[in-house]
Amino acid sequence: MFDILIANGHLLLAGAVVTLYLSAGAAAMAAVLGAGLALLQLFAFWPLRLLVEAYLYIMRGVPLLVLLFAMYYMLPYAGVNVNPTAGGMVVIALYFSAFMSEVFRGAILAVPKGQWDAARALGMFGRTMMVIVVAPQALRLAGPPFVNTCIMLVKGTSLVSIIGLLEVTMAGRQIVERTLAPFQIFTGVAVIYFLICYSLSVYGRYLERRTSYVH
Amino acid sequence: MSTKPNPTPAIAVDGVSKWFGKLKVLDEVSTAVAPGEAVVVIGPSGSGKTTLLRCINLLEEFQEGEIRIDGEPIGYSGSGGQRIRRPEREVARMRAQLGMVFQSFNLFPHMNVLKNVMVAPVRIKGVPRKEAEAIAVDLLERVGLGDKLASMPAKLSGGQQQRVAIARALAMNPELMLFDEPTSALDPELVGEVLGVMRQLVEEGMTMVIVTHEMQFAREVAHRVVFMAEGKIVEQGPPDDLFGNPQSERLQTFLKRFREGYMI
Repeated sequence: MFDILIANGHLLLAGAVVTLYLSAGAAAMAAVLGAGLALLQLFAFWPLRLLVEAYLYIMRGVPLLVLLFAMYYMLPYAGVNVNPTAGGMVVIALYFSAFMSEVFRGAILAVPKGQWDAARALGMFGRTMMVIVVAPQALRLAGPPFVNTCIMLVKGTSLVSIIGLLEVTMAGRQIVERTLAPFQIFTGVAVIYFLICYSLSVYGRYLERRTSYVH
Repeated sequence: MSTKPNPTPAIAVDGVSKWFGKLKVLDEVSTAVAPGEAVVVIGPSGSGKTTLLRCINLLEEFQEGEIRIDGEPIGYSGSGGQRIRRPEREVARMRAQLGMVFQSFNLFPHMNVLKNVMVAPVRIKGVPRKEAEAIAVDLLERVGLGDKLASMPAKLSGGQQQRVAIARALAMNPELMLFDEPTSALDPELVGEVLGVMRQLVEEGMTMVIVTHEMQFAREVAHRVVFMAEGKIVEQGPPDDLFGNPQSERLQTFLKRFREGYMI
């Protein structure tokens, strides 16, 4: 029954590779951007903070699909032609940077006040305090919601199929159009997403254990 | 109580007032601590003891008055109506000269015991690593934890954690030590080991301000006891006077309640 899936497996896997690098690239960008936005939101001078907050509200308030359409259909009107792969990756990164920012902001705020007090009482401030005391603890706290956001991001990449990127969902649709076997093929697509996301969860748990305070 | 001639107090608190919103938590508090003096601050909850202590190293801001450490005002410069918050770098430099020990220990949970004690001297004062390690090991041996250097804080008892916290503060070679209810979070059988370390510090002549509910300790170890209520210093003097012959009604009530509480 699944011989159609096996016969077309190489096409799905090629799509999966695109999904993987799209996810990895976007997640890396979103994480770096998100961490920066979190710091700005917490510590920047107020006009900049307002600007950052406006950005976050927009990104969180508009669906990813609409942002992708905007990039793909509106930018060419403005005379900007974007390559769909790079464009898709950047839009996903921008969108999820807003969620990452909240992940990091929440984690920084969750570092107990006593830790900040102790660091300050020892004469630490600013970057030194962040690097030595706050960040190491905040990053541990950020772990689970970070992995969660990464999983949402991986699944979010399926939306770029509508702007013509041949990732795993698009590959699946094309195979289905040719073979008329949606059940088998989409099961294959689902399994691929599941495996990527499940691996992320497992790796997240492993990191959590590795970096636990109690050795 | 210090009788030695003493031009510059280690800590001078001068008419300090502080509000949390509309609530006045410190009401024109003035006192001075001489070098080598051990002052114990007592008083009911909400009397402003902890807030006063936290104002001394500016973990809390205050709105009026001045606090000077060795004659240098902390936190604010300018006088006569002009109050300018000093830059964080300067405040941090002054804080580095004041050791502080917290009720909840606040050890850095991601560092082992040795690293907790070494990190500030190395990163803030620029002490060479080898030297800082030798100092840290020495201090940890003094507080009886020479065998716990590689332990993580989570593996230690409360008493052990608090002794590490004292060693961590001492590693900065502070001019004075502030203790904020250092034994309040401890199981009763662990209180003694922490008080023992503090008693030793007093004997070595460390200038100390201690907020505590350990009346016996205050009576035996303090040079001077300060009693606070409702943000004011109500009474202060040698422990024998305060505990033996309290003048104010407030202190009489406080001590009476305290004794009753412990007799039940």
